[in-house]
Amino acid sequence: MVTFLYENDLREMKLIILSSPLHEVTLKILCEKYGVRRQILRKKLMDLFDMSLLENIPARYEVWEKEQTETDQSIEHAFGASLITRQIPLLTEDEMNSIIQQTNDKISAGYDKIPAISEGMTMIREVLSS
Amino acid sequence: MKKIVDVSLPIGPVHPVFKEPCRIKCVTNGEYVTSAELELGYVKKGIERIMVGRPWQEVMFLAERVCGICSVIHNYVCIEGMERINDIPVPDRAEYLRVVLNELDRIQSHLLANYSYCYTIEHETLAMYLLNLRETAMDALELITGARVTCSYIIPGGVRFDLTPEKENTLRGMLDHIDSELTRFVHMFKGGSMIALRSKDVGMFTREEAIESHSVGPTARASNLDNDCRLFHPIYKKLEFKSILLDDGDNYSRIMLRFLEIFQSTKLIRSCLAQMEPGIIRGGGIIGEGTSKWSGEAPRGELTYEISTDEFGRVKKISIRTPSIMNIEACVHYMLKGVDSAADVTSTYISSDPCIACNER
Repeated sequence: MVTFLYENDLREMKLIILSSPLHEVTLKILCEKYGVRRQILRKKLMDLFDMSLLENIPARYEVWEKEQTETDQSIEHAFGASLITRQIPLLTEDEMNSIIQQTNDKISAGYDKIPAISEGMTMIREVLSS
Repeated sequence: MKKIVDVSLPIGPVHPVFKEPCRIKCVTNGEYVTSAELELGYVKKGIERIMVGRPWQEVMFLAERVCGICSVIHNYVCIEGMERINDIPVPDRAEYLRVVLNELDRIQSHLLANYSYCYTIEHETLAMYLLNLRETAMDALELITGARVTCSYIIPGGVRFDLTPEKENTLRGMLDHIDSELTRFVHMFKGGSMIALRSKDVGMFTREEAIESHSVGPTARASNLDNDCRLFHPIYKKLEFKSILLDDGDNYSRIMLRFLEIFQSTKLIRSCLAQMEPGIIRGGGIIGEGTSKWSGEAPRGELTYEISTDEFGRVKKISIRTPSIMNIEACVHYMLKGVDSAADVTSTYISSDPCIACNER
């Protein structure tokens, strides 16, 4: 376990970064997409990311947005899997794969696609809120 | 028996090779860096918030003060963004003069970045040569605008001062001097075996990583990712601008790309001087109500201003996205990972030309 001497409490500075106009816009989109409250998402971001990654969130979101195509009907697209595992890594690959697997299992067991995706989204929301 | 242990290696906030304060926290296995984090917040200005509610006449000066190294491009992009709100026309001569100034600013910024790198890898002779040559570019900026750093040269509808034929001749002489001296220094950089040892295959950054982190400017172009904003700028299109790309994505190619871009900049300035016709340099214009988003190519990469103003031209909302935000993140999370010597951490960091003032706007 690596620890540093002279650690500062960075929460206040991280909150200032997340309060910039560009971050406000990006966070609003993320909150709407995953149905989480802004303060919860902010807390998660502040816990997980260092300051350089926090600063770069709007640009990373833009990269993901450019990659998206409207014709893509996959479950990964519906969950924004690459967005929250690669561009803005809020979930680990394993967590995301497990949610996708469970959703796929439900669909193959005869469950409707839309409620299955909705349940998957709830699982993502639980991880984000934890 | 040699024992390798996990070590936490904090560098900064004050370090001899850092131009500005920041703290890099590396986790190393022996000297091999397994991950790194960055701590900022030592020089936060909150300039976006200061700008809100102020008239455009004040904001154009504040914009320059975001960064002391590349102040011209902040002035340029902020004004061009504002001009787009009210469709303010700019005379041709002023357009060319803006490019001249922007490219001079790029020359001095690239020379400073490469100076910092050479100083970091302890090649102080070449570093001092480069810093000395930067003075020629700074003198050229002063020749045209009367100031070295915060020039306030670009205004809505034109520029402040014209370039007289005498000054044009002096500028041509300065460009020749930069070209001839830099050719010599690039030869030294290429031929230095110790430089190659410290720079080649160090701080690797692939094209895919550059796309993922939205890396911009020379940092991205050294990894063969072409996202130069000058390709889409109307006046650069007239100058038939083509961006320079390199493949290797290591420290060496990032520094070499900046050298090549300096030659390109001197060529662009000469083209401007050749194409520029005599005429007016300012057509006037004031800013009214509206919103615009405009990007320009700063020495470090894409700089974006999103401005929204009220009917009196006061800024209602402004967001500035500087290139260092993307490049520093790319450096800390991709380039530093895998560096196998503690000495290479600082050189890799400097090779991405980080600007903390821009990042902590």
